[in-house]
Amino acid sequence: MTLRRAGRALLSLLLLAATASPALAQKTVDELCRLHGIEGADDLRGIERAYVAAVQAGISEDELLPFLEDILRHKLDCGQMVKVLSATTELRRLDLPYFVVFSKVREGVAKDAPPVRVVEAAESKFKSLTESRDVLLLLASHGYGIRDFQFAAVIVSSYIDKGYAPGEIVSQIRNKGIQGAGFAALSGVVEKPLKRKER
Amino acid sequence: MKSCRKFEDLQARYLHGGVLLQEKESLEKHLAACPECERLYLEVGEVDHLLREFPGKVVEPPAWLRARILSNLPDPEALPFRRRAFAWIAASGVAAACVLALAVGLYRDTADREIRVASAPPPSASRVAPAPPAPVAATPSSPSSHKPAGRSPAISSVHRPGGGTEAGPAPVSPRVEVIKEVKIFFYYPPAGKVAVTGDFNGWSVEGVPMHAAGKPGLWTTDLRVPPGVYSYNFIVDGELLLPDPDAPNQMPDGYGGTNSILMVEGEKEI
Repeated sequence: MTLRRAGRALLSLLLLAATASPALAQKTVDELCRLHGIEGADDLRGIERAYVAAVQAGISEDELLPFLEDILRHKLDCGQMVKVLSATTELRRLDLPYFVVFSKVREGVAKDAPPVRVVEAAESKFKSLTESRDVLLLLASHGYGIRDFQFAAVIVSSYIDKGYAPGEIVSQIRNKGIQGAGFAALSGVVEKPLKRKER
Repeated sequence: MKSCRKFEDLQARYLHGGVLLQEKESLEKHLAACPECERLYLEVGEVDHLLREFPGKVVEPPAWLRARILSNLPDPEALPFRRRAFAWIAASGVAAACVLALAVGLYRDTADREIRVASAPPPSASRVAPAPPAPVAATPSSPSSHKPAGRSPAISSVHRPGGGTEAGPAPVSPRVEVIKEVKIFFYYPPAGKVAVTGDFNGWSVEGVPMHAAGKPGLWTTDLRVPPGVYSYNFIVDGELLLPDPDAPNQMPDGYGGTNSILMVEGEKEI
């Protein structure tokens, strides 16, 4: 009797542990994909792989699964989904604000943009965010303080989206200062280097 | 002697016709050669015959046999205890392993979330986008968003109806997330229904509903968001997405339209 009770408790614990495991996540992703008409074994494997990579990179499933459902509803195909998931995974790995891509994709869904445009917008955001990282690292190497790297990356990426070249942002900030160069949104986020005397 | 032992085991099966042909031949040879085994076989055969003859008869075992059997049984108190102990030790060990696995899983899950914190910031009502002179852009700004990953455990927060949030059980060194209240206006007389959507609500299709602001055609709502930069649009009559004509910052949205930019200034945490 006692053994049976212990067995039940053990089973419950194992089930509980399994809910957090990638295997179960994969099963959920699989079911979700089938629900939205993705049936091909290769397609399912590709999406599952991208999903698990995103989870392993540190993106919470609480965010990822609803996002996946959104893009499935919007009829992105397997390749497009893998592209979007890979972009967010890479941003997460670089400690950049991956949620910006989530938001950009959801914006496209809300605006009923064609899936191709959604992926283009997501990839463009990915590109500008990675470039913003280079800008910030370069500024940091010149002694600028970055108070909130992720927030700063979002703002710099916006300037890049607006048409500024990364090198131009750095040189203008160095030559004219943050306010003087017209990057007011960065003030308070990026701090100018202290002068030698002040040190 | 060893071979006799082997044939003893075979005898019972032999009596019931359950041996292989090869086994049968070797057993019969052995019985012909070994008088001791033959005697045993005859005794067992007799008992078997008797049992078959009276299948419904209940045979009471002699008293000495019952006593001997009972004396050889393990202690009735000790046995359940040992079993219980074994069960508990085994279950505890496995449970500990599972809890550890869960804890690792949960840690991995929560480690990347930001600190959900408490605050009661003074509700600062301001007009949309205090116009930064430079172009700013589309930025979703979730409370978790702008923080480097994996710092502290989550702290639950309670939202106060009046604005701001209030801490749950006192954390050791609380970081307080600032929530600002922003009043948004939109003047659009033809609209029968207006909502606002953007990065702050994951571009929800329903949006945050706006209500009449007194003057005909003027719509308003209050947004409660952490400091950050947000793209947004108005949803008119559930369909039409329009940028805010009064927003000082606008940006192409990458989908052929325009986003208005709302910049909420201030520290995200104190």
